[in-house]
Amino acid sequence: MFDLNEQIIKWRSNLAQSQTLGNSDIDELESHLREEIENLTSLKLSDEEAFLIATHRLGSTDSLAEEYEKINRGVKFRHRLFWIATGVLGYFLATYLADAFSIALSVSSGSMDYNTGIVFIVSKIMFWSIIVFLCYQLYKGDFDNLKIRQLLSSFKGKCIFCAALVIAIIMLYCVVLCVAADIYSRFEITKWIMDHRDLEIIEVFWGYLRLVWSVVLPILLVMLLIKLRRKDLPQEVDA
Amino acid sequence: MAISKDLVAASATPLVLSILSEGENYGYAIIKRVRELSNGRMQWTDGMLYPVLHRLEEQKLIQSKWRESKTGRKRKYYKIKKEGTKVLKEQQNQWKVVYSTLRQLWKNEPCLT
Repeated sequence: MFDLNEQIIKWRSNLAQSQTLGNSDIDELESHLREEIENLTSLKLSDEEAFLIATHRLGSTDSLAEEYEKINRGVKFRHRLFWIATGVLGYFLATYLADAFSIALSVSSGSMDYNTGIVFIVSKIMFWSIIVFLCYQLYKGDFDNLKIRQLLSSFKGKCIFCAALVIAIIMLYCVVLCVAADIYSRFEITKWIMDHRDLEIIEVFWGYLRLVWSVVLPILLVMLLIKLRRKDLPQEVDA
Repeated sequence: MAISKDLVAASATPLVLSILSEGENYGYAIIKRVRELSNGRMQWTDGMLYPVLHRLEEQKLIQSKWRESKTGRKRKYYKIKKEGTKVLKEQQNQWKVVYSTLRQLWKNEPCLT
Protein backbone atom coordinates (compact mmCIF):
# COMPACT_ATOMS: atom_id res chain seq x y z
CA MET A 1 0.00 0.00 0.00
CA PHE A 2 1.43 3.38 -1.01
CA ASP A 3 1.82 5.77 1.93
CA LEU A 4 2.21 9.32 0.61
CA ASN A 5 3.49 10.85 3.85
CA GLU A 6 6.08 8.10 4.27
CA GLN A 7 7.32 8.67 0.71
CA ILE A 8 7.56 12.41 1.30
CA ILE A 9 9.59 11.82 4.48
CA LYS A 10 11.97 9.58 2.48
CA TRP A 11 12.20 12.19 -0.27
CA ARG A 12 12.99 14.86 2.37
CA SER A 13 15.72 12.74 3.94
CA ASN A 14 17.31 12.14 0.51
CA LEU A 15 17.44 15.90 -0.01
CA ALA A 16 18.82 16.49 3.49
CA GLN A 17 21.66 14.01 2.83
CA SER A 18 23.01 16.25 0.09
CA GLN A 19 23.91 18.80 2.84
CA THR A 20 23.48 21.70 0.45
CA LEU A 21 19.86 22.37 1.34
CA GLY A 22 18.83 23.88 4.65
CA ASN A 23 15.65 22.85 6.48
CA SER A 24 13.91 25.96 5.23
CA ASP A 25 14.76 25.08 1.59
CA ILE A 26 13.42 21.54 2.02
CA ASP A 27 10.25 22.87 3.71
CA GLU A 28 9.65 25.16 0.75
CA LEU A 29 10.16 22.35 -1.77
CA GLU A 30 7.85 20.08 0.25
CA SER A 31 5.16 22.76 0.25
CA HIS A 32 5.50 22.95 -3.55
CA LEU A 33 5.43 19.15 -3.88
CA ARG A 34 2.25 18.86 -1.82
CA GLU A 35 0.51 21.57 -3.87
CA GLU A 36 1.41 19.76 -7.08
CA ILE A 37 0.25 16.40 -5.70
CA GLU A 38 -3.04 17.98 -4.60
CA ASN A 39 -3.48 19.45 -8.06
CA LEU A 40 -2.74 16.12 -9.77
CA THR A 41 -4.99 14.06 -7.50
CA SER A 42 -7.82 16.48 -8.27
CA LEU A 43 -7.34 15.33 -11.90
CA LYS A 44 -8.16 11.76 -10.72
CA LEU A 45 -4.58 10.51 -10.49
CA SER A 46 -3.70 8.13 -7.66
CA ASP A 47 -1.40 9.29 -4.83
CA GLU A 48 1.42 7.18 -6.22
CA GLU A 49 1.12 8.54 -9.75
CA ALA A 50 0.79 12.09 -8.47
CA PHE A 51 3.87 11.70 -6.26
CA LEU A 52 5.97 10.30 -9.12
CA ILE A 53 4.95 13.05 -11.53
CA ALA A 54 5.34 15.83 -8.94
CA THR A 55 8.84 14.69 -7.86
CA HIS A 56 9.85 14.35 -11.52
CA ARG A 57 8.66 17.90 -12.25
CA LEU A 58 10.45 19.24 -9.22
CA GLY A 59 13.75 17.76 -10.44
CA SER A 60 16.06 14.98 -9.29
CA THR A 61 17.76 15.14 -5.90
CA ASP A 62 21.17 15.49 -7.57
CA SER A 63 20.16 18.37 -9.83
CA LEU A 64 18.45 20.19 -6.95
CA ALA A 65 21.51 19.70 -4.74
CA GLU A 66 23.72 21.00 -7.52
CA GLU A 67 21.59 24.14 -8.00
CA TYR A 68 21.31 24.86 -4.29
CA GLU A 69 25.04 24.39 -3.82
CA LYS A 70 25.56 27.51 -5.94
CA ILE A 71 23.52 29.67 -3.57
CA ASN A 72 24.13 27.88 -0.24
CA ARG A 73 27.91 27.83 -0.28
CA GLY A 74 28.19 28.14 3.51
CA VAL A 75 25.68 25.42 4.38
CA LYS A 76 28.11 22.48 4.17
CA PHE A 77 30.64 24.36 6.30
CA ARG A 78 27.95 25.24 8.87
CA HIS A 79 26.89 21.59 9.04
CA ARG A 80 30.47 20.55 9.78
CA LEU A 81 31.01 23.35 12.29
CA PHE A 82 27.76 22.37 14.01
CA TRP A 83 28.94 18.79 14.51
CA ILE A 84 32.44 19.90 15.60
CA ALA A 85 30.90 22.20 18.23
CA THR A 86 28.55 19.38 19.29
CA GLY A 87 31.56 17.06 19.62
CA VAL A 88 33.48 19.53 21.80
CA LEU A 89 30.39 20.06 23.94
CA GLY A 90 30.01 16.28 24.26
CA TYR A 91 33.65 16.05 25.38
CA PHE A 92 33.04 18.70 28.06
CA LEU A 93 29.95 16.86 29.23
CA ALA A 94 31.90 13.60 29.47
CA THR A 95 34.71 15.20 31.52
CA TYR A 96 32.15 16.84 33.84
CA LEU A 97 30.42 13.52 34.37
CA ALA A 98 33.76 11.84 35.07
CA ASP A 99 34.58 14.61 37.59
CA ALA A 100 31.21 14.26 39.29
CA PHE A 101 31.65 10.49 39.44
CA SER A 102 35.14 10.73 40.96
CA ILE A 103 33.89 13.26 43.56
CA ALA A 104 30.98 10.97 44.38
CA LEU A 105 33.50 8.16 44.94
CA SER A 106 35.68 10.47 47.12
CA VAL A 107 32.63 11.43 49.22
CA SER A 108 31.55 7.82 49.63
CA SER A 109 35.05 6.74 50.62
CA GLY A 110 35.23 9.58 53.15
CA SER A 111 38.24 11.32 51.63
CA MET A 112 36.16 14.43 50.90
CA ASP A 113 33.86 16.47 53.08
CA TYR A 114 30.24 15.38 52.47
CA ASN A 115 28.75 18.91 52.16
CA THR A 116 31.47 20.18 49.82
CA GLY A 117 31.05 17.14 47.61
CA ILE A 118 27.26 17.45 47.43
CA VAL A 119 27.40 21.18 46.61
CA PHE A 120 29.96 20.48 43.90
CA ILE A 121 27.95 17.65 42.34
CA VAL A 122 24.59 19.50 42.51
CA SER A 123 26.03 22.66 40.93
CA LYS A 124 27.52 20.61 38.09
CA ILE A 125 24.28 18.69 37.55
CA MET A 126 22.27 21.94 37.50
CA PHE A 127 24.62 23.60 35.04
CA TRP A 128 24.64 20.63 32.72
CA SER A 129 20.88 20.19 32.95
CA ILE A 130 20.54 23.68 31.44
CA ILE A 131 23.08 22.88 28.71
CA VAL A 132 21.40 19.53 27.90
CA PHE A 133 17.97 21.21 27.85
CA LEU A 134 19.20 23.84 25.37
CA CYS A 135 20.79 21.13 23.21
CA TYR A 136 17.55 19.12 23.25
CA GLN A 137 15.59 22.20 22.11
CA LEU A 138 18.16 22.69 19.35
CA TYR A 139 17.77 19.06 18.27
CA LYS A 140 14.01 19.47 18.11
CA GLY A 141 14.45 22.75 16.25
CA ASP A 142 11.84 24.18 18.58
CA PHE A 143 13.36 27.60 19.15
CA ASP A 144 10.37 29.27 17.53
CA ASN A 145 8.46 28.57 20.75
CA LEU A 146 11.17 29.78 23.08
CA LYS A 147 11.62 33.24 24.51
CA ILE A 148 15.38 32.79 24.14
CA ARG A 149 15.08 33.01 20.35
CA GLN A 150 13.28 36.33 20.61
CA LEU A 151 15.88 37.46 23.14
CA LEU A 152 18.73 36.52 20.80
CA SER A 153 17.20 38.44 17.92
CA SER A 154 16.53 41.50 20.09
CA PHE A 155 18.90 44.35 20.92
CA LYS A 156 19.32 42.98 24.46
CA GLY A 157 20.23 39.57 23.07
CA LYS A 158 22.82 41.11 20.78
CA CYS A 159 24.29 42.98 23.77
CA ILE A 160 24.55 39.68 25.68
CA PHE A 161 26.24 38.08 22.70
CA CYS A 162 28.69 40.98 22.40
CA ALA A 163 29.43 40.82 26.15
CA ALA A 164 30.11 37.07 25.86
CA LEU A 165 32.39 37.76 22.90
CA VAL A 166 34.31 40.42 24.86
CA ILE A 167 34.68 38.04 27.82
CA ALA A 168 35.92 35.33 25.45
CA ILE A 169 38.50 37.70 23.95
CA ILE A 170 39.68 38.83 27.41
CA MET A 171 39.97 35.21 28.47
CA LEU A 172 41.90 34.35 25.34
CA TYR A 173 44.24 37.23 26.13
CA CYS A 174 44.66 35.91 29.68
CA VAL A 175 45.38 32.41 28.39
CA VAL A 176 48.08 33.84 26.14
CA LEU A 177 49.56 35.73 29.14
CA CYS A 178 49.54 32.60 31.30
CA VAL A 179 51.13 30.50 28.57
CA ALA A 180 53.78 33.20 28.15
CA ALA A 181 54.41 33.18 31.91
CA ASP A 182 54.68 29.39 31.81
CA ILE A 183 57.21 29.56 29.00
CA TYR A 184 59.23 32.20 30.90
CA SER A 185 59.29 30.03 34.03
CA ARG A 186 60.32 26.95 32.07
CA PHE A 187 63.26 28.76 30.58
CA GLU A 188 64.15 30.19 33.99
CA ILE A 189 64.13 33.76 32.84
CA THR A 190 61.29 34.77 35.18
CA LYS A 191 63.74 36.00 37.81
CA TRP A 192 64.55 38.93 35.53
CA ILE A 193 60.91 39.69 34.80
CA MET A 194 58.80 38.59 37.78
CA ASP A 195 59.42 37.52 41.34
CA HIS A 196 57.98 34.55 43.26
CA ARG A 197 54.92 36.52 44.40
CA ASP A 198 54.00 37.44 40.84
CA LEU A 199 54.09 33.76 39.89
CA GLU A 200 51.81 32.87 42.82
CA ILE A 201 49.29 35.51 41.72
CA ILE A 202 49.38 34.14 38.19
CA GLU A 203 48.78 30.62 39.53
CA VAL A 204 45.71 31.76 41.51
CA PHE A 205 44.51 33.76 38.53
CA TRP A 206 45.03 30.72 36.31
CA GLY A 207 42.85 28.67 38.68
CA TYR A 208 39.99 31.20 38.52
CA LEU A 209 40.40 31.45 34.78
CA ARG A 210 39.99 27.70 34.35
CA LEU A 211 36.87 27.79 36.50
CA VAL A 212 35.30 30.61 34.46
CA TRP A 213 36.42 29.00 31.22
CA SER A 214 34.74 25.72 32.11
CA VAL A 215 31.45 27.62 32.56
CA VAL A 216 31.73 30.14 29.73
CA LEU A 217 33.04 27.84 26.99
CA PRO A 218 30.05 25.45 27.04
CA ILE A 219 27.71 28.46 27.01
CA LEU A 220 29.61 29.95 24.05
CA LEU A 221 29.42 26.59 22.28
CA VAL A 222 25.66 26.37 22.82
CA MET A 223 25.30 29.93 21.51
CA LEU A 224 27.29 28.93 18.44
CA LEU A 225 25.06 25.89 17.95
CA ILE A 226 21.95 28.09 18.26
CA LYS A 227 23.37 30.51 15.70
CA LEU A 228 24.21 27.71 13.26
CA ARG A 229 20.91 25.93 13.77
CA ARG A 230 18.84 29.11 13.43
CA LYS A 231 20.02 29.63 9.87
CA ASP A 232 18.42 26.33 8.92
CA LEU A 233 15.11 26.99 10.64
CA PRO A 234 12.16 28.36 8.72
CA GLN A 235 11.32 31.97 9.45
CA GLU A 236 8.40 33.01 11.62
CA VAL A 237 5.01 32.00 10.26
CA ASP A 238 2.28 34.63 10.18
CA ALA A 239 -1.32 33.53 10.20
CA MET B 1 7.81 24.30 -29.57
CA ALA B 2 9.96 24.18 -26.44
CA ILE B 3 12.09 27.15 -25.47
CA SER B 4 15.82 26.41 -25.10
CA LYS B 5 17.29 26.07 -21.61
CA ASP B 6 19.61 29.05 -22.07
CA LEU B 7 16.78 31.34 -23.02
CA VAL B 8 14.66 30.09 -20.12
CA ALA B 9 17.56 30.75 -17.73
CA ALA B 10 18.22 34.23 -19.17
CA SER B 11 14.57 35.25 -18.88
CA ALA B 12 14.07 33.85 -15.35
CA THR B 13 14.96 37.05 -13.47
CA PRO B 14 12.75 39.47 -15.49
CA LEU B 15 9.90 36.95 -15.45
CA VAL B 16 10.02 36.45 -11.68
CA LEU B 17 10.39 40.18 -10.98
CA SER B 18 7.53 41.01 -13.36
CA ILE B 19 5.20 38.49 -11.72
CA LEU B 20 6.13 39.75 -8.27
CA SER B 21 5.54 43.34 -9.38
CA GLU B 22 1.87 42.33 -9.79
CA GLY B 23 1.77 41.47 -6.09
CA GLU B 24 3.34 39.09 -3.58
CA ASN B 25 3.30 35.44 -4.54
CA TYR B 26 4.75 32.00 -3.73
CA GLY B 27 6.84 29.59 -5.81
CA TYR B 28 4.15 27.22 -7.02
CA ALA B 29 1.88 30.06 -8.13
CA ILE B 30 4.77 31.79 -9.95
CA ILE B 31 5.45 28.65 -11.99
CA LYS B 32 1.75 28.24 -12.77
CA ARG B 33 1.57 31.85 -13.93
CA VAL B 34 4.57 31.40 -16.26
CA ARG B 35 2.98 28.25 -17.73
CA GLU B 36 -0.32 30.08 -18.21
CA LEU B 37 1.27 33.11 -19.89
CA SER B 38 3.44 31.02 -22.22
CA ASN B 39 0.65 28.50 -22.94
CA GLY B 40 2.88 25.80 -21.49
CA ARG B 41 5.72 26.48 -23.93
CA MET B 42 8.13 27.67 -21.25
CA GLN B 43 8.93 24.54 -19.28
CA TRP B 44 10.78 25.17 -16.06
CA THR B 45 12.00 22.34 -13.91
CA ASP B 46 9.93 23.38 -10.91
CA GLY B 47 12.73 23.05 -8.36
CA MET B 48 15.02 25.37 -10.30
CA LEU B 49 12.84 28.38 -9.58
CA TYR B 50 13.71 28.41 -5.89
CA PRO B 51 17.47 28.95 -6.27
CA VAL B 52 16.57 31.88 -8.57
CA LEU B 53 14.24 33.30 -5.91
CA HIS B 54 16.88 32.84 -3.20
CA ARG B 55 19.51 34.53 -5.35
CA LEU B 56 17.22 37.51 -5.92
CA GLU B 57 16.60 37.64 -2.18
CA GLU B 58 20.34 37.61 -1.52
CA GLN B 59 20.70 40.52 -3.94
CA LYS B 60 18.00 42.28 -1.86
CA LEU B 61 15.69 42.62 -4.85
CA ILE B 62 12.90 40.66 -3.18
CA GLN B 63 12.01 39.64 0.37
CA SER B 64 10.29 36.55 1.72
CA LYS B 65 8.17 35.52 4.65
CA TRP B 66 6.62 32.24 5.73
CA ARG B 67 2.86 32.53 6.11
CA GLU B 68 -0.02 30.18 6.62
CA SER B 69 -2.57 30.06 3.81
CA LYS B 70 -6.34 29.82 4.34
CA THR B 71 -6.09 26.05 3.85
CA GLY B 72 -3.55 25.89 6.69
CA ARG B 73 -0.57 25.14 4.46
CA LYS B 74 2.68 26.96 5.19
CA ARG B 75 3.96 28.88 2.19
CA LYS B 76 6.92 31.13 1.63
CA TYR B 77 5.65 34.33 0.06
CA TYR B 78 7.91 36.60 -1.95
CA LYS B 79 7.51 40.33 -2.41
CA ILE B 80 9.40 42.72 -4.70
CA LYS B 81 11.45 45.49 -3.04
CA LYS B 82 12.17 49.02 -4.29
CA GLU B 83 15.59 47.93 -5.56
CA GLY B 84 13.89 45.04 -7.38
CA THR B 85 11.51 47.42 -9.17
CA LYS B 86 14.50 49.49 -10.33
CA VAL B 87 16.29 46.39 -11.66
CA LEU B 88 13.08 45.25 -13.36
CA LYS B 89 12.86 48.58 -15.22
CA GLU B 90 16.48 48.22 -16.38
CA GLN B 91 15.80 44.67 -17.53
CA GLN B 92 12.67 45.79 -19.39
CA ASN B 93 14.71 48.36 -21.30
CA GLN B 94 17.41 45.80 -22.15
CA TRP B 95 14.86 43.23 -23.36
CA LYS B 96 13.09 45.90 -25.42
CA VAL B 97 16.37 46.67 -27.20
CA VAL B 98 16.94 42.95 -27.92
CA TYR B 99 13.34 42.54 -29.09
CA SER B 100 13.34 45.57 -31.40
CA THR B 101 16.72 44.57 -32.90
CA LEU B 102 15.55 41.06 -33.67
CA ARG B 103 12.24 42.35 -34.96
CA GLN B 104 13.93 44.65 -37.45
CA LEU B 105 16.17 41.84 -38.65
CA TRP B 106 13.43 39.25 -38.98
CA LYS B 107 10.99 41.67 -40.60
CA ASN B 108 13.24 41.67 -43.67
CA GLU B 109 13.28 37.89 -43.94
CA PRO B 110 11.51 36.55 -47.01
CA CYS B 111 8.15 34.96 -46.32
CA LEU B 112 8.45 31.23 -46.90
CA THR B 113 4.73 30.41 -47.01
